[in-house]
This record gives sequence, structure tokens and C-alpha cells, in this order.
Amino acid sequence: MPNVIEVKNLSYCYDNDEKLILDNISFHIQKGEYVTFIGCNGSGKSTLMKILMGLIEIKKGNIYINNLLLNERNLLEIRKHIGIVFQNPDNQFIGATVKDDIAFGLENMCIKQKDMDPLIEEYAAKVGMIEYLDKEPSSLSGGQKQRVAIADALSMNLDIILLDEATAMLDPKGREEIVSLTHKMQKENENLTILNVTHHMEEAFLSDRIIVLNKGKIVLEGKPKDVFAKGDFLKSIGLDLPFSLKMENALKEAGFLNLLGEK
Amino acid sequence: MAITFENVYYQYKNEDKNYSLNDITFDLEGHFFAGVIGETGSGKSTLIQHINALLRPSKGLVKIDDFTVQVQNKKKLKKIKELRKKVGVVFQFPEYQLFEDTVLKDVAFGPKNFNVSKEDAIKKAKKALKMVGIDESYYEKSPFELSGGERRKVAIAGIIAIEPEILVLDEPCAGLDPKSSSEMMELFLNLYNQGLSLIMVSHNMDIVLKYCTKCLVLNRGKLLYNLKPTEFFYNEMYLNTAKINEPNLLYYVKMALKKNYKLDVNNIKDISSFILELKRCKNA
Ligand SMILES: Nc1ncnc2c1ncn2[C@@H]1O[C@H](COP(=O)(O)OP(=O)(O)OP(=O)(O)O)[C@@H](O)[C@H]1O
Ligand SMILES: Nc1ncnc2c1ncn2[C@@H]1O[C@H](COP(=O)(O)OP(=O)(O)OP(=O)(O)O)[C@@H](O)[C@H]1O
Ligand SMILES: [Mg+2]
Ligand SMILES: [Mg+2]
Repeated sequence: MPNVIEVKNLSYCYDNDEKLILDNISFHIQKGEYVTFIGCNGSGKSTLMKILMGLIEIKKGNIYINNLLLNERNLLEIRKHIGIVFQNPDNQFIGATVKDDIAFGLENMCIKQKDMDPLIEEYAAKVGMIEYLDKEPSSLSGGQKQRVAIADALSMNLDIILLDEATAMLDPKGREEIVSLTHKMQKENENLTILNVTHHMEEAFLSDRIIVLNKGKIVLEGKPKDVFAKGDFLKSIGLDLPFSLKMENALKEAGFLNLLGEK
Repeated sequence: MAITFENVYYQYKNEDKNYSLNDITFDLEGHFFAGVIGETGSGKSTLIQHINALLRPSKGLVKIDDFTVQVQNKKKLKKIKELRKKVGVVFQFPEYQLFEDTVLKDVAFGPKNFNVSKEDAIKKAKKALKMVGIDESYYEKSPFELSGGERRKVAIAGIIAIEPEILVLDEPCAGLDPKSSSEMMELFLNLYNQGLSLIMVSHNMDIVLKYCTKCLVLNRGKLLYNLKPTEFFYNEMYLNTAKINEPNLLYYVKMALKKNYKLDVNNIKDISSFILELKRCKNA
């Protein structure tokens, strides 16, 4: 599989601060992969996502997206293929209604007017917001806003979607639904690559690969089961194991083997 | 401490028929740590904003000790400041409560606004920032140059610094990393043990089960239940009606019950108390 994203020796610090927020990071993402980034608050996850999206200018290092060097000249071309859902969805609503908001993204992708309505309805239904098409995005609850922001990104038929804590405000059932929706879309579309940021270890566990950031460095990377085999290390950097693994470890340690492994 | 909702209805201005709160009646009395739960859009944020009169009922009334909040009674605006000193609310999106140009000033704003001297306000701000795990290196940063989790911690500190009697929190752990999240909950528990009452909206049912003394369960603007967490979470019918997933912990507790461990579920709050309870049963 070819790489859709290549990051080479990326370092970054904000103008007003000399602290290195990203410290010589290199990684590859293959086409069709579902990769989750985890790391404690302030470890640099959102900064990395904004750089990949071309919202923050690179100072040191190189990034290739679809084999194009990420720079000002290529930015417009690259933006046709990549989309982001922010931590706070209010930062990205443009339309006066939910419907307009989804339509706006589709217009940018040059979808014909007549094809738009069915697409809008399809994606609003997928995220459970079909009843809210005529509402103002600003008048939605926190979780409803996140659902709309996700519909915006998913409807655009992008190659790369960056989800920066896109499910943080959803109730557990809602999160399960939306997370499995993103996985389903990624499985059905071999061109779709998803980069996810989350503090939910259960959610991270479902991805193809996990990249762990700490103080701007990649400190661990691998398949979920290998990453979560390092529980003590993860705890030492502010992270944790998914609940089921924590429970299994505790049951094993206390000798209640009869309560294990039915899940 | 007493909070009473009496037949409270709330309708947002641009809505013609839907009530976001629909005939809500309940009492919270004495010393409590109440969880407010319910699916997306069920009315949790709308409900808690009534507790400090940020929203006022379209019908019905809300009482907080001797304050009464009812339909747009502008006369009472004078007392609103007192109410807001008593009830501190942290919003779901912390962005909306940060506005000063440095973190320290932002957190000191609350106490200063309630007539604390500048010096003391800074002291209170530093203390509150320490409690939420934000160190000195952040004092002079702009709140808008923080990460999502850092911003939430600062917003929480801003309300703690006011030293309210009731702390109302809308998803305080959303966006916090696992360690920060459990430290934040331990901080709230400490405040509770020191006499504060808390009301917390949360989507994390394991947290609600572990920390809350009560839970208010909302569904489509209606209050379905006002129960102890164990009374609610161990009732399959209630969970289904409210469309709420059980805490992760319960899957294992129920499996143990099926295997004839005579557990007392009131003693089970998290993994470690579950293991203790299993050991007790095994030895009995
Ligand atoms: N505009 C900015 N100017 C200066 N520093 C910033 C700015 N934005 C973020 N930072 C700092 O950079 C660090 C990394 O922030 P970033 O938002 O990338 O973290 P994160 O991993 O996404 O954290 P969280 O889990 O809390 O969202 C933080 O310590 C933050 O204070
Ligand atoms: N400003 C507003 N104008 C109109 N309707 C609104 C407004 N804010 C919320 N609503 C509607 O009121 C209902 C309750 O919203 P509320 O924000 O209280 O939900 P919530 O339980 O906090 O949900 P979440 O878990 O997603 O944050 C929702 O259906 C929402 O769409
Ligand atoms: Mg972030
Ligand atoms: Mg809410």
C-alpha cells in the first residue's frame, strides 16, 4: 500500500514561545489506514492535526500528502483531499442551517446541485440528525453539533479525514454509533484514510494502529494490542488501558480467572 | 442547601413547539453530588443553566435556598450576583468562559468580580490553578493559546476560585486525558467532602456510578428518574427507557452475580472495590 501521508523530521514551536511542541517527528500513514493518536493534554496532537491540514505553517521538516509536498503552492490541491473535524465544532460551522452547512462542503467539492439533497439527507441520517436539517447549528446541543460536524466531513468524499476528539461530547451509545460509522466507511472505501485523536482508550483500541505522543515526541507506535501491552508505561505518561483490559488484569491478579474472557 | 425545580418548562426563543425542558420537578436537599445524565439533546445543559439563572424558566420556578428564579422577573436582577457567587457553573465548551488576556487574570476575574481585593483574587486564582494541575509556566499565557484539555482545566479553576457553595459542571472531564480526568474527579470528591454540593453533567456512566450520590435522568426534556446511581443502573428497564448504556463495570458485576457471588452492589464503585467485594464473598 502506498503512503498517503509522510512526515519527516517535523518540529514545531509557536511564535510566542520557544518550547518545542513537536520535536522531530517522523511517521508514515498508508492509504486506507485508520490510525489513532493518543497522548496527554498538551502533548501536541491538535497542533499536529492543524499542521497536516495546512492551517499552521511548517517551520522545520517536510510533509508529503498524496506525494505532494505540503507547502503554500500545493495547499489548494491538497485541501481537495483532506478534511478536519475540530475539538469544538462551533469553530467550523458556516451554514445558517444544518442543511446549508453540509451543502457548503459539498459545493466546495463541486457536487452538482441536483445530487446534493440526497447526499445531505444520506449523511444527516447516518449521524442521526435528519430531524434537525432546518435548525441553526448554533442552537444545537453539544453532541448534536459534533454529529453535524462529522456529517460535514464524511459527506465530502475526501481521501483523508482528521478527527480531533470529534466524539468527546457524545453519549456512550452515540459514540459507539459514530465510531463504528467511521470504521464502516473506512472499510468500505479503500481510498479513505482516517486519523483520529481521542482520550478514549476503548475507541483507540479499535484502530489499525496507534501512535502515542508525549511532550511532542512519538514515544510508542504499533498495533493496539501491542501498545496496550505496555500499561505501566502508558500510565506513566498520563494515559491508561481500555476498561476491559484494566478489569481483566485486576481479575487475573486477584485470581478470579472464572470471571474472565467471555467478552 | 436545597435546589427545587417546580414544573419547569423551557422553550428556546426560536422554537415554536418543542420544549427543551418539559415539566421538570425535583428536589435536591442537604449535601449532594448529583449526576445529570441522558442522551444527546435530552436537556442536560439547558437544565443546569437554570440553576444560576443564566436561563429562566418559560413556566414554573426554580428555587436555590431562598432565591427564586422564575419567568423573566427583571426586578430580581440585583440579587443575581449573590446567586452567581453561590452557584458556580462551568460550561460544556470552556471557550465561552475564557476572555482575559492571561490565564492568571482570567482565573482571578471571578473572585475580583465578587469584590475580593486584587491581591486576594490572585492568591485564590493561583490556588485554584494548582488544584486543577495548571502550573506557573501557564500564568502569563493567553487562554486562547492553550490545548483543549488545558483550557477546560483553566475554566474549571476560574469557577473554583469564586469559592461557590454549589459547583455545577457540564461534562468537566470531556477532553481531559485519563490521568487528568481521574485527578479532576478526586478534586471534586475532595470539595464534596469539604462540604460543597456538586451537580455534574456526564456521559461517563462509570464516573457517575463511582462519585455521585444521586442521578437525575433526562430524556427528551423530561425528567425520568431521580434515584441513587445503583438503583438506576441495576435496573434494565430504566436503562432502556432512558436509552442509556450501563457503566462498563456492570458487565462484570452482573457476570459475577450470575456465577453466584453474593455481592452487595452498594459496595461496588470501581474495579478495586469490585475485587474487594469478590474477595469478601469468596471468603464468606
Ligand atoms: N496558539 C498557541 N500558542 C502558543 N502555545 C500553544 C498554542 N496552541 C497550543 N499551544 C501549546 O502547545 C501545546 C500543545 O497543544 P495541542 O493543542 O497540540 O495539545 P493536544 O495534544 O491537542 O492537547 P489536548 O489533549 O488538551 O487537546 C500545549 O502545551 C499548548 O499550551
Ligand atoms: N440555543 C438553542 N436554541 C434552540 N434550541 C436549542 C438551543 N440549545 C439547545 N437547544 C435544543 O434543546 C434540546 C436540549 O439541548 P441541551 O443542550 O440541553 O442538550 P444536552 O442534554 O446538554 O445534550 P448534549 O449531551 O449533546 O450536550 C436539544 O434538542 C437542542 O437542539
Ligand atoms: Mg487537542
Ligand atoms: Mg450539553
